[in-house]
Amino acid sequence: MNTSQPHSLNTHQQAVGQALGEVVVSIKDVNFSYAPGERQILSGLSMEFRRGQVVAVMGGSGCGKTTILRLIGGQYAAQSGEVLFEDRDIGKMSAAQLMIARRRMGMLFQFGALFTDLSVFENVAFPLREHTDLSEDLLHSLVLMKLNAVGLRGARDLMPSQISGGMARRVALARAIALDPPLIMYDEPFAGLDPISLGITARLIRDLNNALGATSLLVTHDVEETFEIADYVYFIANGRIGAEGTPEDLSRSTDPFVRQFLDAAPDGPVPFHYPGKSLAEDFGVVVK
Amino acid sequence: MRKSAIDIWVGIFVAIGLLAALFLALKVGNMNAVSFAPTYKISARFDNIGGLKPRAPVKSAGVVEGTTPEARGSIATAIRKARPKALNTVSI
Amino acid sequence: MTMVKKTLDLLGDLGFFIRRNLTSLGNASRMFVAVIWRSGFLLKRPRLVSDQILFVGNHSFVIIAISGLFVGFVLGLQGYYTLNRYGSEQALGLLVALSLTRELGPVITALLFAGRAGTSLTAEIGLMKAGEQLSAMEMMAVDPLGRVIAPRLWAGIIAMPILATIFTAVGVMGGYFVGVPLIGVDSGAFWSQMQGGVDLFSDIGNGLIKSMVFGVAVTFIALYQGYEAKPTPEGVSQATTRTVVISSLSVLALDFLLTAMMFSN
Repeated sequence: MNTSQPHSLNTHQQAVGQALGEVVVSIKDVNFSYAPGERQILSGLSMEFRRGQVVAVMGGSGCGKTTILRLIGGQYAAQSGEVLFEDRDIGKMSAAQLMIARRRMGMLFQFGALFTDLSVFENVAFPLREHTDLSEDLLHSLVLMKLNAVGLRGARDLMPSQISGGMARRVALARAIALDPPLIMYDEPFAGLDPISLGITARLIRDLNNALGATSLLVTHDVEETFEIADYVYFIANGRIGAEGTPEDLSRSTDPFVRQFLDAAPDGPVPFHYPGKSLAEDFGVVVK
Repeated sequence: MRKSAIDIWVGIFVAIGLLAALFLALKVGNMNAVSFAPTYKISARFDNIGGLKPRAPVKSAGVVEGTTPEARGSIATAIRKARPKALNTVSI
Repeated sequence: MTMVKKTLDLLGDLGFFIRRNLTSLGNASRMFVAVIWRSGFLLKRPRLVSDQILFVGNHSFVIIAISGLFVGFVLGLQGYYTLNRYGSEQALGLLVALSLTRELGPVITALLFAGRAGTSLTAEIGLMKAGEQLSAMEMMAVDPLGRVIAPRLWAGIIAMPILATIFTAVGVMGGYFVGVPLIGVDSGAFWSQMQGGVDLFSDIGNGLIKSMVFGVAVTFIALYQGYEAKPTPEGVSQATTRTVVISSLSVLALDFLLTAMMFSN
C-alpha cells in the first residue's frame, strides 16, 4: 500500500519506508440509521485507519461521511457492528470512558465552531484549561506554539467575529491539536475556501499529522487538494464502500462511480435528476 | 470587559440588592418580629375578641409595643416588649 | 362521514400534542436533574457563575429599576384614589408595600426577566447549538450541561431575587414619592402603617421565596428552549418566542400556587 509516493508532501512516508502503522480506528460491519425506520445511512461498513496516515473519506453530499465521524466520536452509537478506537468499542463505552477517549481525539468542525464569546487565544487555551493543571505561563507558551503552527500567533487577541472564515478554521485546527491527540478528524476542511487558504490548509493537515505522528481522518469532497496529501482514500456510496485505494490507484480506476466523481461528470451512477415522475407525465405528453 | 471589571460590576449589583433588602427589612417591614429585647407575656380572656387576629399589634398610648401571638376564641395572648411604665390603657 | 373523520383527526392531533408535550416535560426534567447534578464543580470555579450574573443580572438592572419606579407611581395614584373613597388614604403606604412585596415585585420582575434575560439566554444557547459550538465542546470531552448551562442557571437563581428586591424597594420609594410630596398623604402615617402591617418573614420573606422559585423556572425554561432549539435561524427565533410564552404562563401559574400555599390562613 505504501509502496511509492512521489507526492512532494509525502516525504515523511518515504522516510519511514514501507512500515505500516498499527490500526488506530477500526470500523467493522457497521449498520446505522438516525432513528428506527429512518433511512439506513450506513450498511455493513468496514474501514481501517492506521497510525501516521492521512485518510480521506469521500462521497457525494448526504452519503454518510459525516455520520462516520460522529460514530467515531461517540456522539451516536451504531445499531450493529463495532467502532473501535485504540481497540476499544466506542459504542459500548460509559460516559466517563467516552470522556477519556475524546481527550485523545481532536475534531475540526466544518466552519470552525469557535466559541464566539472567547478570544482566539482563549479558544485554543480552552482544552488546556479544562483538562490540565498547567501554570498560566506554561499554558501561555503552549497556546502560542499551537497558534504559531497554524500561522496565527499574531491574531491571538482577536475575537472570532473579527477574523475571516479561513482564519477561523485555522484557529479551530490549533484548538483541535492543543492536547496533541493521536487522532485528528476533519469535517469538510476545504469547503468554501479561497485557493490560498486551500493550499495552506492542505499543507497544515499533512505537516501536523507528520509532526504529531498522528492519524488524520478527512471527510471531504474536494478531490484535487485531498489527492495531494492523502495516503489512502475511501469512497462511500449507498452507505457502504464504493471504492478504496491510494490516490494513484484511484486516478487510474475505471469504476464508473469513481470516474464520475473524479471527472466531475454531471450524470453517471449518481443521477442528475432527482427521482420522480417521468418527463412525459409531468409535461402531459402522452406517448401512444 | 476584563475579568476584574466583571467582578466589580457583579459586586456592585449584589451590593445594591443587599441595600434594597436592608431598606425593605428596616423601613418597610415590621422589625418587631426580630427584636431580641426582653419580653413578657400577657394573657387576657374576652367574651368576644371581635376581629382580633394573630400578630395584631399591641399598642400602649398609640405606640406599638408588642404583638399578639395567639388569638383564639375568647382568649388572647399578648407579648409586650418591656414592663409598662404605668398602668394605662393598652389597646390590642 | 367527513365530520366523523375530522373529529377523529382532531382527537389524533390532540393525542399527538399531549404526548409530545409530556415527552418534552420528561426530557426537561431529566435535563434539570442532570444540570443540578453537575453543578458541584462550580464551587471551585465561581467566576463562571459571576460572569453570567453580569449578563442576566446587571444587564437587566435598568429595565427592572425603571419599571419598579413606574409601578410604584401607579400604585401610589390608584391606591390613593381607591382608599380615598373609604377615607383610608393613611393606609396608602401599607397598600403599596404589601402589593409589591407579596405579588407585584416577584411576578412583574419575573415577567420582565423572561422577556429580557430569558430571550437572550435562549438565543445565545440556540446560536451556540447552531454553530456546532456545543458539539465541539462535547468532542473536547467537556460536558456542555455543566460548563455552559449550569452557570447560567445558577446566575438566574441568584440574580432574580436581587432584581425583585430592587424592584420592590424602588416601587415603595415611587409610591412614597407620588403619595406624600405630590398628593399630600401624611409621611408619618405612610411609613408607620406600612411598618405595622408588613411582616418581615411572612410578607417580605415569602416574596423572596417566590422570586427564587420564579428564577429557577424562568431561567431553566429559557435554557431548555435554547438547548433543544432547531439549529437554524427560524428554530432559534421560534425558541425565543416559546421562552417568553411558556415562562410567563408558568410564572403566573406558580404565583397562584405559591400564594395559595403561603398566604392562606
